[in-house]
Amino acid sequence: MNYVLSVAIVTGLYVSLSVSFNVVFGYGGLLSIAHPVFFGVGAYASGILAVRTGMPVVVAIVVAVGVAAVSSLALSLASLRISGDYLLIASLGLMLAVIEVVDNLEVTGGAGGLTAIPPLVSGPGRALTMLAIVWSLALLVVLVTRAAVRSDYGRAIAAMRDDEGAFVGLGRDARAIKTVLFSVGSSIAGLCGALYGHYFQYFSSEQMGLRTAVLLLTMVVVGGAGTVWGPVVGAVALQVIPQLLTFIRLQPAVASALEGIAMSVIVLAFLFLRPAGIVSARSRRRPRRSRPALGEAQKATAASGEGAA
Amino acid sequence: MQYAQIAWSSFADAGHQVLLAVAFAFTLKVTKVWNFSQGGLLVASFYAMLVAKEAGLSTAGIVAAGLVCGLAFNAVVELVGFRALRRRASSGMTYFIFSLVVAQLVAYVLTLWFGTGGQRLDDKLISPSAEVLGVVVTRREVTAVVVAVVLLTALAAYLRHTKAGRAQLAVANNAWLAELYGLSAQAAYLRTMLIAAVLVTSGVFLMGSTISVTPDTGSALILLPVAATVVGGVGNIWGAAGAAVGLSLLNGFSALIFPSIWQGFILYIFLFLLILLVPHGVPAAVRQARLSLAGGAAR
Repeated sequence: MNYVLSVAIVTGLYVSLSVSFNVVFGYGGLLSIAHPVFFGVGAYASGILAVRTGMPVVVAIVVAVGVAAVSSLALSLASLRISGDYLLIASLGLMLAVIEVVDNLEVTGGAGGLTAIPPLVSGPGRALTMLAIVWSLALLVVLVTRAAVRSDYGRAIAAMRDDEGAFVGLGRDARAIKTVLFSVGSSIAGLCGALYGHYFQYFSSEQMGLRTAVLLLTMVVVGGAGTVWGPVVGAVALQVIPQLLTFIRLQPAVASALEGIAMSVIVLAFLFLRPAGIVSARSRRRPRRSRPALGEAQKATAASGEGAA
Repeated sequence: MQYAQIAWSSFADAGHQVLLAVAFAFTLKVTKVWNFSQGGLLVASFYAMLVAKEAGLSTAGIVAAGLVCGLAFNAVVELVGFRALRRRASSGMTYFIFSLVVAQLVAYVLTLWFGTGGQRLDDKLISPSAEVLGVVVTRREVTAVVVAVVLLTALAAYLRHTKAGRAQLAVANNAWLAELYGLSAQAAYLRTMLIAAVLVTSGVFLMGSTISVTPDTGSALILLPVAATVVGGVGNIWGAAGAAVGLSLLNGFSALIFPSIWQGFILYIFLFLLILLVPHGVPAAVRQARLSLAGGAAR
């Protein structure tokens, strides 16, 4: 029973996490894959404050959300200078740099991870209470996102994503929108990380690495980027389907590799057979203009004048 | 003399890095794809060579096995993956997800098959060496430098003096215009991927003799070619080669100042800052600075 509850809690956290990632990537069109970093920042900030300073868990979580929001400035400032493929590669560099720092500091527990994080809720009904908290958060995140994208501000976000040049030309402030998107998305990710750490009472850099980034991308792409319910469907499907493997008694290493293969095949199948995801583009308020295949790199090549090798 | 030794060892170590960086930069220049599946190609060809070695094949047989695997891998990625994505005018993000997931899929399959333990192509840890002007030079290091120089010279000659090579450069500059002149962009993309496979497999052969490789190694080793491509300037394959040497030297000498555990951090934060500050590469930034200076002087 505890195992089922844990799966349900992690699924709820991933629903919030993938919806928050979709806010940045799907709605904002900001190609950053460093979202798991803010999940990790939230978990580590809250865990370290609670473990090392004895701060009450609730206060530590609130501070951690603030830390995640502030640390997102690194990416939002980057997004003001670069975009597209370049932002993607820069976010990859930032993510790996943060992981290196976490793995080499004593205060974070190093590569072994931070242990003995105090729980947010204790007692016999701990898992059920956490389940209620996590799914309430997920519902709140979905509803707020739904309301936001249907508001005037949501239409402004879509306009910026579809044509930033025209948007700025009309006198609108794209910088403010990017900063808000990154800080809101990162705050939610930080909150999810803090809840994760306080539930499992352990956190390591493995949970904020490239695999988590690919998993989040997969959830959003499979579910349907730029839709309200797509990431929810993607997160639930991709958290529940791998659990089927637990019914086959396999060695953990084999099960992990098989899970990875299954996930990869699912993503590839969706990329080619249903690129719009499970929740199709019909539910979007306006059709997205597809970006040219030869995007930023071509512009850069032309701009740098490196025609000949 | 310590500095000379570090300089030579870092330079020789750059042999395989240069090949991986040029393969990545060349693919990006022609196909416009940040091809992270190169990480998958890297480990796939390594394990093909390992199987050939365990089957008792000669060095030529081992390299041939790696080449066959590498060429087949990149042909499939191009023909089945990139070509389909190109047909539907997919976004840069879709290419990124596809190439990253392919690399991860290969890593998972190889983990299932070979486990997570590190393997090497050469069981001998020490290579025969000689002292030249007080610097220890191993046979392995000389081989790495010679192979890199020969392959890059061959690539330069191919691009400059053959019709197929010039067609690839034309497609790299403007695929639409090249097709208008009767050149096949699809053929150019495929040739590019095959040439990249040869460069990567050669790099892996050099690298696999010196360091231990695991199925997960690909995703970690792809970062340096990415950094070199950015430093050298997107679209400038020789810039990427020079940057790979520079980064290798930086890596070697930074060990004198920073503990080795921070080497990864230095590389990644360098990549982040560099893209942020000079997204079009150091050569383009230098050119821009010269133009600004010249403009200032003229005024």
